[in-house]
Amino acid sequence: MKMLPRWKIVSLLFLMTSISQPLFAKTQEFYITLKDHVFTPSEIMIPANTKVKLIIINNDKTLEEFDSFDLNREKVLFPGKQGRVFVGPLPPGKYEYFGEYFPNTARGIIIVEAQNAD
Amino acid sequence: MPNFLNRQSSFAILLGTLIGVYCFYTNIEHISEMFDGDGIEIFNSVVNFAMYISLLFVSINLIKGTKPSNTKYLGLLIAATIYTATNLSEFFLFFLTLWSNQTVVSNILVGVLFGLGICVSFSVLLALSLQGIKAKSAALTYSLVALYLAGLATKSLQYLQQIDVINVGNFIWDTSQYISDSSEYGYICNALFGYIASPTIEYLVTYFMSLLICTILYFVFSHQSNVREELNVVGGAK
Repeated sequence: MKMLPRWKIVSLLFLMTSISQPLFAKTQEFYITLKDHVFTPSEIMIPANTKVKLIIINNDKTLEEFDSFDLNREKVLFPGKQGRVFVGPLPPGKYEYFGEYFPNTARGIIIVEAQNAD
Repeated sequence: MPNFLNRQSSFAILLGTLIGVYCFYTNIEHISEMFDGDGIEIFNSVVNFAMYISLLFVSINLIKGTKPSNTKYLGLLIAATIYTATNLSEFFLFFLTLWSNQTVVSNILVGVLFGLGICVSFSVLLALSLQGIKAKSAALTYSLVALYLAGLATKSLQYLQQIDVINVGNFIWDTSQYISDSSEYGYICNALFGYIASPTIEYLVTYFMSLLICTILYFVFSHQSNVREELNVVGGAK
């Protein structure tokens, strides 16, 4: 049987590693709860330059939409249900989010910190 | 209003949209729970993509200066109807949620009427402007359509990035100090050309790939159209 050249084996291993890394790497999860049209916690710290998963639980009896211009994300949250949104990798800074239906009370900030980076 | 949009097809769009709104609105929660909670994003990205493809095909007729075929026309009607129905359903969700939670209902009605008035005025002005531009330069009209299509393509991308189907890269630049995404100008530019203040590399690749496709289509079909016109002139002279 003809063997593959060494450079092809190395390239193949490199390709497999780069593909499998995002598949098996565990994405950090952060939970946000909506109750009485208020997001808790209102401030979340996440690491810089890393993709994270936000899980937003709507404990209200009404519909809400998680919305953020800074993160370019919007997610409809049905009463008693949860939704997930992936954000990042983000540079250090503050990113606001709000509930589109009750923006006066449902507000929060995601703080991306450089020292928490992977 | 395009000249191929007659009374019969306008009625079909209206009726289809109403049925679509009813179907989507009554099932939106079930759709949302599909695909591990990513149903709405997947549904919206598919609808956006269908709209993009049908508009891209119809844009060829804009280059050639001809009417679209019945198949293309039907495809556009269906895509436009589903697209309008999904967007209108999301508006109804917003409207009815506010309605059931506000003590002062008149405020909501006034807000909706103002919003509707602004939308209708803007749409009429945009349609008239495009008609005026088309009469002077078909190429400029096509360029505006190409920018709109590029923006539409990036909307599907954003839905897929939100649910981690496509990776999100770092921001390339940030123009929020000039035009913020949350400002009125930001809204209009986003709706017309898909503007976002902090684009990622994936966003730019999608945007410019779409522009490239439109440019290739323009050169291919405008060349074909010119050749056909020349042949007609030669044929007429004989």
